[in-house]
Amino acid sequence: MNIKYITKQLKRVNLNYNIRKSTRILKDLKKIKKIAVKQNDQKKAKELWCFEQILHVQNQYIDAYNLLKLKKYYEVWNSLERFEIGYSSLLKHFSDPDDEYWLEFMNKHVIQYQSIFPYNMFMSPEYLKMEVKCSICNQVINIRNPCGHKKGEIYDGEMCTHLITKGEVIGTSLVFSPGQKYSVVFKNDPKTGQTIDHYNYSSVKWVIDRLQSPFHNWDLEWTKIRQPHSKFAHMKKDDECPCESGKKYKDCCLLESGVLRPHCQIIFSVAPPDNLTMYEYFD
Amino acid sequence: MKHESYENTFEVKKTQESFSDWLNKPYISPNLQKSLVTANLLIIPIEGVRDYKGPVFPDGTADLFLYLKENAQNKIIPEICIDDEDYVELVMHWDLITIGTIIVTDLVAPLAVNIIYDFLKARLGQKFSKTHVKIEIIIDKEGQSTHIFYEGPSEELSDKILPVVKKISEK
Repeated sequence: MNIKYITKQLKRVNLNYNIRKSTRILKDLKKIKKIAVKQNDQKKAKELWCFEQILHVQNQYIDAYNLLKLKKYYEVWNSLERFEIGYSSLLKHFSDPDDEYWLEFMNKHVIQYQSIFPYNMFMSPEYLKMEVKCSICNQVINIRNPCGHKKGEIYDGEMCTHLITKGEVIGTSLVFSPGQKYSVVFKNDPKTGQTIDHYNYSSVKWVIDRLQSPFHNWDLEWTKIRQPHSKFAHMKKDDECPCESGKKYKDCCLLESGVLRPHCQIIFSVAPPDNLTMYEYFD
Repeated sequence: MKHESYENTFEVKKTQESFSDWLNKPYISPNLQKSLVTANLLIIPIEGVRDYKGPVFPDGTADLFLYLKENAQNKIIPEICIDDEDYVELVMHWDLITIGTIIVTDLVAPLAVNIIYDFLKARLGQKFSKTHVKIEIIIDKEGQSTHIFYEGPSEELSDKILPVVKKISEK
């Protein structure tokens, strides 16, 4: 494959996402990059790194979609995070104003998928970085005499990252907004030691059931609407109001026409299959 | 330990803390002390983190130090209160960016704030507008110091801090 053919494949990802040969594309990109590095053509090598990265983020996005169809939600969550990391590394080096490579489209949908996931509590390790090495020259990072390679820059077609070679974990915290999203808190069965996925994925499932391609656009809008009191018949007047205001039910939404609850409106650019409902109520 | 996600805090108060307090710390070697004396901006560590005995710096401090040196415009002489071999960074894995504490002389303080703001923009990229930051700046004006604490949206850092810093600097 030559570079022209490869870029065409990357631009047509919406049509070829389930048939393209990603391993072959990556192998050929690496082969062309090797020649560019040998000729010390840094500009070309950087451009080829960008195409590698585009392939990587597109694959993460497609993986997330396929895993969603298989209801492997935690794996989806991790793929979305890998997309996020890859996309932010790429943004510094690649401009795609017409979104020919679907980057902006994918980023918008990754944010939307993440926003409808039920994960809201994460474990957060606190640790000390005691020795860090440069991925390009393998030198220990020295604060006063740095090696000269800059984190996030591209050298010989590879991105400079910092690798922690000595460290110490000093604590763990529970956080709502983690630096790394993969550290989701799950319950554990004390008898079997098995992880229990206790989350309610209704919103995510609702969307994925109605999507027929990862490259069909959908938009989402969070608002609040009043749900009928009949849905909350099990609540007592003195209970905390189900709208989560902190007030008693009798002093809050019971005085109104219904209970104020989050409402998510999703607009699909391609109509979902006819046999699926258009409205659903989730706890 | 459970963290609440974000605070929005902006405090300005007088303090006794100054450059000289940081020159005589037990972990400052005589050689390092000579460099620190010539600086007009010091990045200072956090002491007493959990059970760790030595001083530590927030994640990304090495990058900030390098950025300050590269963008100093021959006006800022930045230094960091630790020897190279003792430098340790503390990573708190939540998405609040902690810049840490700097002591800076009043004359270069406005420039320092601008450089730190640019550093954050470069470091955070597209996340800049969505990220919260925490920073403490001590402005040393001939022995009279002012302590500024800011925790809030990164894009508002400059708007909040700069007017106060300029006022102190221009007095």
